[in-house]
Amino acid sequence: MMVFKLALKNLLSAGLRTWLTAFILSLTLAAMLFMQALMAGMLDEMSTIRQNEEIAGGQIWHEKYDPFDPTVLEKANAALPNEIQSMVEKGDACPLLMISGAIYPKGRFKNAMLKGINPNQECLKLDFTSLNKINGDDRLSVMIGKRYADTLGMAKGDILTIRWRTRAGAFDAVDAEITSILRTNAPVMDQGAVYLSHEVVNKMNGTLNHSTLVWVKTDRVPPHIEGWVFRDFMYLMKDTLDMVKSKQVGQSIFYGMLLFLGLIAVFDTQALAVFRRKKEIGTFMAMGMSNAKVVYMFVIEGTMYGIIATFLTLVWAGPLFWWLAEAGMSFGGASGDDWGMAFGDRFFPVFTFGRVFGAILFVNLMVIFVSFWPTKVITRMLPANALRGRIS
Amino acid sequence: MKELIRLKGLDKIYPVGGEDFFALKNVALSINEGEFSGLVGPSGSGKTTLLNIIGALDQPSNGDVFMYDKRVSRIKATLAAQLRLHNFGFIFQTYNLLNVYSVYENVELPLTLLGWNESRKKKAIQEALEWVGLTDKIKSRPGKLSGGQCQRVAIARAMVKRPKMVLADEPTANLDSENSHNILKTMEEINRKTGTTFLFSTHDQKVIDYLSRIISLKDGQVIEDRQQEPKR
Ligand SMILES: Nc1ncnc2c1ncn2[C@@H]1O[C@H](COP(=O)(O)OP(=O)(O)O)[C@@H](O)[C@H]1O
Ligand SMILES: [Mg+2]
Repeated sequence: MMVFKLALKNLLSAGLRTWLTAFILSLTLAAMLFMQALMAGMLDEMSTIRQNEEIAGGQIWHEKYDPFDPTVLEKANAALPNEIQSMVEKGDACPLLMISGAIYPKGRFKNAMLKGINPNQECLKLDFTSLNKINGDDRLSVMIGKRYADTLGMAKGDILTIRWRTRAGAFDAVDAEITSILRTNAPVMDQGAVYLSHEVVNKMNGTLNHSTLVWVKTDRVPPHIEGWVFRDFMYLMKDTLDMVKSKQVGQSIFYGMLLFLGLIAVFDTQALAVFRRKKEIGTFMAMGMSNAKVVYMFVIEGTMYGIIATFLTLVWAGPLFWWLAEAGMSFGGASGDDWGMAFGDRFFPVFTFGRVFGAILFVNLMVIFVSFWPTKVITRMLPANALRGRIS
Repeated sequence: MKELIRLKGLDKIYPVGGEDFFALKNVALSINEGEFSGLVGPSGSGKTTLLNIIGALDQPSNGDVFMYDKRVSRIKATLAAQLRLHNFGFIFQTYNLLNVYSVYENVELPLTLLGWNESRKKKAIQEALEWVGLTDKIKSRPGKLSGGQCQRVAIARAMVKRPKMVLADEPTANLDSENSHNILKTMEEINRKTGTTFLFSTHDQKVIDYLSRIISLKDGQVIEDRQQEPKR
């Protein structure tokens, strides 16, 4: 108790220096907490969006399908085996057939992915029902994503010419009407994708009920289906997780540097104290305080920086973070798509007790360590030498 | 009178420029309970060194220190701290008060280290501050006090736990004549009232006049040891 009181008095009497050091530590702590929460919030948001609008409970791929190799796409479809077909019929799986093609928005040529999907599918939380629409002149119904439509300068009701290569190798073309604009925050589902019904794309491709992949609602899928591979949610999220991880590394470097500054300030104070306050150290020893207790006293004093910083952070950043977590934040009009990430125009940093507690504990442990390190020399200090202002 | 301290063949050697420098050389002394004595000698004669060794703040290079016939030199640092805690009060030339603490808290510190309870502490602090005439300054910070007042606080701090022995290293060196006399009078009174043993280190004639025993040091050796009738 005495030690705490003394430590606090010493700190407060040091005035500005103490507050500056505590402030840097507080800033570090707040930055750590905020960035962690930001990342967690982003990951949450991206996971939710990608689960709802792109991945569902996972996907079963045709074994030849490779999202990074368009040259194999042509061969990467087949009729679904019975196990999967029965899932489709029960509504537990939803097929997708992809072929490459081209579109001519306003006469310009653009490569596009033609995606055949069941308009009534319930695997993704996206509405494709307007693909059911019957148009005049037998025009096909197509949907394209909002952002894609914006880049193409197309809108609902516009006519789009679609061209593709048939299995026989000839080119064919057809006019289609954009019956609806798809609103999705998953970039993969938006840019470069032209949605038609599963049946129509099969007809274009000259196949009957072929699929490239199916979405499944849950990961309860039959094991080992010949010619097909199950890709679970985590597999499909890997790129996002990797991105978050690499961002976290970058962030750690950032707040690592901040923390370093704060710790240097504490270390410096402590190291200075050992030299400047020798007479005081000697006096304590003369009064009968053991070396260990003097060290302890200095460590407590240094530790106080962490405690004050923690307290400061809770006071100034606590309410701010609370508010941000409740109200969410926006990137001032920039959408996730501009960042190549799946999130909406507003998202919510996520603070969890565990992460907050962890960060506070981490910072304080570091502070304790750098408080101890420079004062360790006191352990072997002879009181007579301390009183004379000598080191050893 | 009972013997409190006995020194036997004390050397304190510092290696200086590759050679042994004897800060103390073959010092033998005996100090009885209740003495009011002083180590007297010019600067560098080894007074502080000897005082520090007696007070277990330092270790001799050779020889031994006995307290009530028990050897107290060459003990572990933690034991030395215990020895100081229970038996010695120190007074320094520069007062060595804690500036972040009030007068009361400065005097309280040794008792807190001893683990006394509040009421017992309060009584002892009150008494110690009465001895030095500072009961009206208990809330003041040392920074607001004069040198004489600071040294009084230091005396109260040294005396508050009623140590066996008070070691005072040139306590008047930073004080004017009037304050020096006041301090010395106070300590002499305490010595008479409580029987606490006082050992000074000094080269100040004012201090020397108060002493009843003068141990003269020169170049680390005791060159004279005599009793005197205090002059005052
Ligand atoms: N740690 C040390 N290393 C080397 N020499 C020292 C050390 N401490 C004291 N001395 C020397 O020992 C001698 C006695 O010092 P000291 O006991 O302080 O004398 P006094 O108190 O009588 O002035 C001095 O010459 C001093 O320089
Ligand atoms: Mg001296």
